[in-house]
Amino acid sequence: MEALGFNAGFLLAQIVNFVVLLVLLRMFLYRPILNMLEQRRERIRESLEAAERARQEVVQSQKAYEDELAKARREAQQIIERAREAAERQKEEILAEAREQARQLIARAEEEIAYERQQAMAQLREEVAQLSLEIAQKVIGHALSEAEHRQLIRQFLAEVGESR
Amino acid sequence: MDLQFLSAGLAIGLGAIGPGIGVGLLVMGALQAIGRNPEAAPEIRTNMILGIAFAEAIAIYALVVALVLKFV
Amino acid sequence: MSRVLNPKVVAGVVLVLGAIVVGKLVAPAALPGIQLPAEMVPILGVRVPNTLLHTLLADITLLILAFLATRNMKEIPDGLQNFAEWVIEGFYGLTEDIAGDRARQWFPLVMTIFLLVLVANWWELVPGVDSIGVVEPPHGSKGFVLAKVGPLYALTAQGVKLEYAGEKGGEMMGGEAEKSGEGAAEEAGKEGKEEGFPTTEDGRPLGVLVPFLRASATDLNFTLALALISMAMVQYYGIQALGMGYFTKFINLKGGAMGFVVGLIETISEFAKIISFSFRLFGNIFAGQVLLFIMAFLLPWLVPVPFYGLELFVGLIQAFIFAVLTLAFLANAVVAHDDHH
Repeated sequence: MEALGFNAGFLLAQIVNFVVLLVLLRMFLYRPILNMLEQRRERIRESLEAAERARQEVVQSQKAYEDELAKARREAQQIIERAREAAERQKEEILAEAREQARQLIARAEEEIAYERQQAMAQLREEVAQLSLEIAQKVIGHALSEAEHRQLIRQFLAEVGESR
Repeated sequence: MDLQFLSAGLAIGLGAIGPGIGVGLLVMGALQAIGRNPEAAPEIRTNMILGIAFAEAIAIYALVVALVLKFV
Repeated sequence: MSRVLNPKVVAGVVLVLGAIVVGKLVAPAALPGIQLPAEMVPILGVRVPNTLLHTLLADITLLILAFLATRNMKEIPDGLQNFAEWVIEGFYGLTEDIAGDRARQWFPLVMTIFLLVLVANWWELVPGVDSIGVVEPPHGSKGFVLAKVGPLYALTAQGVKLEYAGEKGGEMMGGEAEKSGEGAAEEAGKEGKEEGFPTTEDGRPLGVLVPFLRASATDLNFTLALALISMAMVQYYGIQALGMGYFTKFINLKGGAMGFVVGLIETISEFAKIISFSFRLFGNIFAGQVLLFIMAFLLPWLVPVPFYGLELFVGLIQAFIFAVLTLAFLANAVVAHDDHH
């Protein structure tokens, strides 16, 4: 073994050397660099996530805007529709009212006409009676008795009624 | 004559035959694999190198024997 | 035809070959003595193994890089911080693939193995490592003729075989020079002392180089230390995850004789892993070092360049394998073994 160069002291020296080097490199090389890599990975992940979030937000607001627009359009459509319906209804109502009024006017007019006619008829009848009474008085020269009057009027009225 | 030197030479000379063939076969297989499936080349290459290291270890044993014969 | 005889191509080839030949003639390199144990190099009067110094150099390099990378951390990284994050994030991803939830727990161990082995391996390829050191009297069977360069000494490629009769600096047999290469100073050394050095027959001093630095992984203590730590952590996490149930993997009494033998094999293979861990790394890097030595010795100019490229690759792969195998064994240890029921 000696001839191959083995030497317990040197072997131990090399082992100690390696352990010390490992500790030092771990402290001054691996840890900072791995931490830096980790940090950068974290940073990249975060910025990717942020970008994704921003994209989502844009998509969402785009969608909200479109929804809003569609809603507004729908509402406008509804308003127009409702206005049209209201107008239609109003037209119908006005027409119906007008028709009713016209009908009422006509009815009232007819009533009035009928009334007037009755009125005129009664008046006429009265006047005819009066007239015929006066005529009869003139013709007879004196007044007939009440009974005779009544008899005469009734007779006349019957004749007039027949003639009509 | 000094048989020590002869034996040392023979030890490493004969001992290198097997690993030589082994390494050749390994590389042949790896190259064929890479030819068939070039996408797996990095993985195949790493494993090939490890395989060569194992095959080569045999030659190293022969070298150790030769060194022991010559120097011890 | 015309392309082959293109004057530019011909000129290039001639130039390269010329450089190789001229390099060989003008600047031959010494083939250093190859030995397994680390050389003991005197630093401030204390003899320290040069591989341990090399490990400390790699430590300091890593710590400085870590300090610079994390000095002022920014959310948007640049420069060294970016590079450090790339390395650590990449390796952490690999750890997560194999370890899952335990990645954070195991990552420091595995990453430190990777970084230390990688930096130590790559430091080997820097000029000066393995080639600057202290010149000493030869203590092996070979010495090199020394040349004085200013206040320093340089080893020439002129190697001399020595045979010691007994004590150091004794008589030497046969001073035959293998290579003649005066003025070829490939390996420079400090603190050369004239006294105590044997000389050639014509009075020139002979010495060997003890480099200040030598790749850590060419020392079995380094690779064995890593392997022991690695396998100790594997056992630790295995016990932590499975409690006493972890040991049923090794001592299996329920599975009959067959199960017992399997458990025995598992036990042996646990020790074999330590051996193969340490010798795999050691063997690769040591062999690479010897390869570079020999290439520089044979043809010093241009020729070693592709081998440097190869060693760069081997250094990376071995660091990666050590780390990933540790990870694989860790992942394997925390899984319950119920093969027999």
